[in-house]
Amino acid sequence: MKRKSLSRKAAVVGVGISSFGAFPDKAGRDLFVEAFQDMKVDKGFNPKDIEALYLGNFSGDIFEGQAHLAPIMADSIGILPCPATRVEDACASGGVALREGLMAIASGMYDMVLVGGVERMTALPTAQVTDALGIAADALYEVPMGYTFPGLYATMATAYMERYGMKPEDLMQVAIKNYENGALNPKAQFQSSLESIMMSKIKAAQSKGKPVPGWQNVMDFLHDNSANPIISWPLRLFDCSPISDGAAVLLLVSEEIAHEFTDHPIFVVGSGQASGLPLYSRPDLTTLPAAQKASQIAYQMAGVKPQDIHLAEVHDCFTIAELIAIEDLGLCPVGKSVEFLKNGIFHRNGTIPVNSSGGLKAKGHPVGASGVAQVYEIFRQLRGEAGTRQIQGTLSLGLTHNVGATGTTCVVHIFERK
Amino acid sequence: MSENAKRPFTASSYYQYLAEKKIMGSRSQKTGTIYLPPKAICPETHSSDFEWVELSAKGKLISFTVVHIGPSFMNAAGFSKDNPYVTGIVELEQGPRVSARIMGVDPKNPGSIAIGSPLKAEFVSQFDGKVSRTILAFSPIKDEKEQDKNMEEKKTTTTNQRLAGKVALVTGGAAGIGKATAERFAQEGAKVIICDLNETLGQALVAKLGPDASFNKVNVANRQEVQTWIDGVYAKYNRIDILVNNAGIVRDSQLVRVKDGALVKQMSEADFDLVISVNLKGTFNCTQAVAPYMIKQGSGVILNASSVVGVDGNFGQTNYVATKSGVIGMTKVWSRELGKFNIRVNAVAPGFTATEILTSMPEKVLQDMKSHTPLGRLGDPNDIANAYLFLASDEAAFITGTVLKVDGGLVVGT
Repeated sequence: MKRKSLSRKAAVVGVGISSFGAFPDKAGRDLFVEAFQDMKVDKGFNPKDIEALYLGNFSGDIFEGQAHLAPIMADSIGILPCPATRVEDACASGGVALREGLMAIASGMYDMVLVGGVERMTALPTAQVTDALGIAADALYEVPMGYTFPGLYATMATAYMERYGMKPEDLMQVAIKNYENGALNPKAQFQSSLESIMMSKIKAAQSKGKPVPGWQNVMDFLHDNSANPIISWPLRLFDCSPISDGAAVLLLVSEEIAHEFTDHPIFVVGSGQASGLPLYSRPDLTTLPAAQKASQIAYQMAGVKPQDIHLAEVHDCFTIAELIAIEDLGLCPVGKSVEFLKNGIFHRNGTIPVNSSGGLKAKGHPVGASGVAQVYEIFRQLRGEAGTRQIQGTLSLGLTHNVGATGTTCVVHIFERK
Repeated sequence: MSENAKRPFTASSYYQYLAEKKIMGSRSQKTGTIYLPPKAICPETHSSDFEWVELSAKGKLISFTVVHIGPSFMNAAGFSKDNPYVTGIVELEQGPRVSARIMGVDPKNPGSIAIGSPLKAEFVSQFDGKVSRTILAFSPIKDEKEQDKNMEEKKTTTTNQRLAGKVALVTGGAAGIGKATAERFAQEGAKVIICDLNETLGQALVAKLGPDASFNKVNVANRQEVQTWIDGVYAKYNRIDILVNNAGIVRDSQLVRVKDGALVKQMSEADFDLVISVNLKGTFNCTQAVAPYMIKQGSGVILNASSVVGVDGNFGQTNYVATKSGVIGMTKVWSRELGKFNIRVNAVAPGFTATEILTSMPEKVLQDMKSHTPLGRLGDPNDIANAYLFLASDEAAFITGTVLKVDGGLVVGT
């Protein structure tokens, strides 16, 4: 296959993020402004120079009763009349927005674009959020059979257990790792390890004079149906990413002008996107073919191999999704992700740290923002600005993997600090 | 060219075929690949060289999940974390895969559900919050010997056989409370005869209930159809022990709705008449047809479906409430008239029960109902079926002319 490359390269020169969590007093635009104001560019930038906004957003329509978000966000950060375009590819909206921005710069049309993502989800009751997310699955051939997203990913988990002998307990290791990472991220929705969450529940029971749970360790806690109820077997509550409010932005500029903004731009060296069949008609339920394809394209464009990657932010909307992502990206052999995880390979101090931000699991998953927030983490880590969660050693190549629905969309980007 | 072949390859035609209990896919004439759901354009040849092909209703389980927290429409159908359901992916014998509800397995014990096990298709009607569709469900094909053994075990161990040998009629028995009652009665040894307008669901239920059960498509509002049905049942079974007048419908609207002094909407005469004809006159028709046979045999039980709204009234239900109050009145009259023939007549007044009839109600109203129910939940069809079972059994030999509320203690406010 001919190696595809960008005719003009682009670099990220600044990133910003809002706090992730549940913010009843904030509208989507407040979160977007918060993310935009959080973005500091080393040598400064003039917002008036932004030539276009690409905004990832899944469903402001249903979540907030607000469609056509992009010009509203452009207005709220004072960059009118620049063109503003909303990108919707379910939970991959943010990652696809980045790709659209990248292509706009590569085409020569623009030199500076703002890529953003926003989702304000917690205004709706959980049942309605579940229904709203559910329509990203196949509304004719999956949803009527009682499928939800936890159900679809649980079906992948059941197939994975059957094929590779994984146990539901193994999934919990993903959650434990990502909560430990989230505990070090001041923007994360959950800034506690699962052990701390367990201890605080024990203390709360003690101080209220209620029966004190007899959990001896985190695994006891995670096996307790009242503390960690089954959502869709084999997935439990702590296997699922939360419902979140949040926004993230990044400033993308052409290679020629990148050094006008910073001495340490992070170049986007690979970009791949692919689409896939809905889950039910896929021949193999233990892999996302679109993720394999998207990553192959990105690796080829970047001229690198999976083993060259120093860290990755992957789409862990459910614990099983992280295990499958790691294999689809070639970061470990197929069927071995549990073994590698248990050996610490993907931990913050392991060989290939995965989801050092806490991932969607602990950092939160405001769906349209997630793909952009992944880039925030890679940018900070590659520039050595990740604070207490900074990964040690020389980091030059990072990867983001952002999935829409069950892998009907997948977009992968590779970033390099040169 | 057959009629099938003329049907276009669309999503709706796929569901139309399911309603006809056929699984139809499209087959590329060039590559022979079968697509399900049918495709109109072949991804390999990019042409429309398709023909319809009927697929086997057999397959195997590829993977599954047990859903504890499901979408709203499944919650409205009575599923919950305490009553989870199984859904999964099935590969048909010819290769295509579908997602489908998986029945006949134990959701509480997922470890017992075997991936790769052979399944057969069932066609079930399901309301998805917007429309009612026939969807695919699959259940395990059991080894015949094993199946016989299971049937034997069921007969000896599961129930008290409180209705052993009794002939029981359930109107509107294909779904909801009627279905639960038919199933419960059959478990207790009754020969169950159901009638309903939904033939697909009725036949499916009878197939499940076994050789002693039968189904007839009957409109209870039509006296002639009712008489023919009852005469036929008596001719076949030579007795009728129990009649459950369960068939009922709703057509809600306010008596009058006025906005800015002008009448904007009102309950139509047609809706009023329709609900009266099914709920009230249907109960009259069936009881009048059955009573002579019960008098002849010197025993019988008639059970009428009232409702808590028949006692307390309800906003927007003039017609329905009239019928449910009327049923209470008829119960009291018939208990007096038929008591001397050893025929007992009672009514059951369910509270809000999780059946399809509730899917037309706003979520807010349902939540409100739950909050006014001391037991804190909607009724399950089985709760009502158990009340019918008690009143139908000889344990209720001295109970007649009464209205049994089965409503979790529901207290409706102003």
